Amino acid sequence: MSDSHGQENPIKHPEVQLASNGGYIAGFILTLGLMFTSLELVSRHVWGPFKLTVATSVAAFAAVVLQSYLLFRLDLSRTQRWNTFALIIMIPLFVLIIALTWWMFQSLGARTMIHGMGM
Amino acid sequence: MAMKNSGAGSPGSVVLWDEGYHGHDVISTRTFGFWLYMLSDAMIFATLFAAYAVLASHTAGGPTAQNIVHPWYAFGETVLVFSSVLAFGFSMTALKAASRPGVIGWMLLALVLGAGFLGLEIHEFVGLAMRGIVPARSAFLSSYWALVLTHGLHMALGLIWMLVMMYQVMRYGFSTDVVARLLSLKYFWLFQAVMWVCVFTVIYLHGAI
Repeated sequence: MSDSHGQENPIKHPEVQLASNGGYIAGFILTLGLMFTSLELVSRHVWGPFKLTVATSVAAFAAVVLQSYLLFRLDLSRTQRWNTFALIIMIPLFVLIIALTWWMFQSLGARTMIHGMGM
Repeated sequence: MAMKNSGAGSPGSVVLWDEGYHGHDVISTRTFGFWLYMLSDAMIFATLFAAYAVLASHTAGGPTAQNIVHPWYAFGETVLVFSSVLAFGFSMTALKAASRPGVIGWMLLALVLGAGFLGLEIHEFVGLAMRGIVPARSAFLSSYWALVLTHGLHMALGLIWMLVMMYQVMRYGFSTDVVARLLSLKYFWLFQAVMWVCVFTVIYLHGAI
């Protein structure tokens, strides 16, 4: 969170002043380029399933990082550091919730699904 | 919050909340609160992705992901989401320049592009439903519909929010309240692009492998 300056004129608020056409355009081009590259790799089946899955996942991760920096402007500046910090401390929670949900559905599936049907 | 007490006066003279207190940043307090809300919203997507990862193979003899996903069609949706986010970004630079026509015009373009995305998604899912590819058919389809349409619902809510904000900008200008809401909407709309990267990769690309 930023200082209280800019309260008299909200337009002068640091979060408003963060907007940058250059960042938005760069974010658009780079992330769209990454998604297009992933699509081309999958469409042409250039590798086997495992390699393709890893490559497209890495491209998606890179796109999310680029969006965080270029669109959300998450960095360690005075204006944005608490947003960045909140995101970082949420990461272990994301990992936990994904792992626990995965485990729960996996266990449930093993006990309730009729095996041999589309598995 | 400060507590003012006028001394030994009657209870009616006590002012509990000091509305004039300038010790904290109203805009940042609100946007940070909304940012935390968005992070908790991301948790919903995390559980849906985890469920999809497990259930993707539980097709119950019905269609598989490979049978129903069309990555090039989904790439068209990707272009629309990203373009809408770009237009919204330009709306935020217009806000920086205190331009009402700029904010409203770019937001209108973001709204049209977002509506285009929703149109494509509705067309896709109506087509699936017409072929009997509905959530009740299999665990895979339940998770597929739930995940993609949760994102679609977010997009629809974002479009409604844009309409409200365009009205508020026209009606009230760039007051502190309006600016704080615009910044929160910015977080919400940019977040849809982040989630779409995950949906496009996990559902449409991995589904086609």
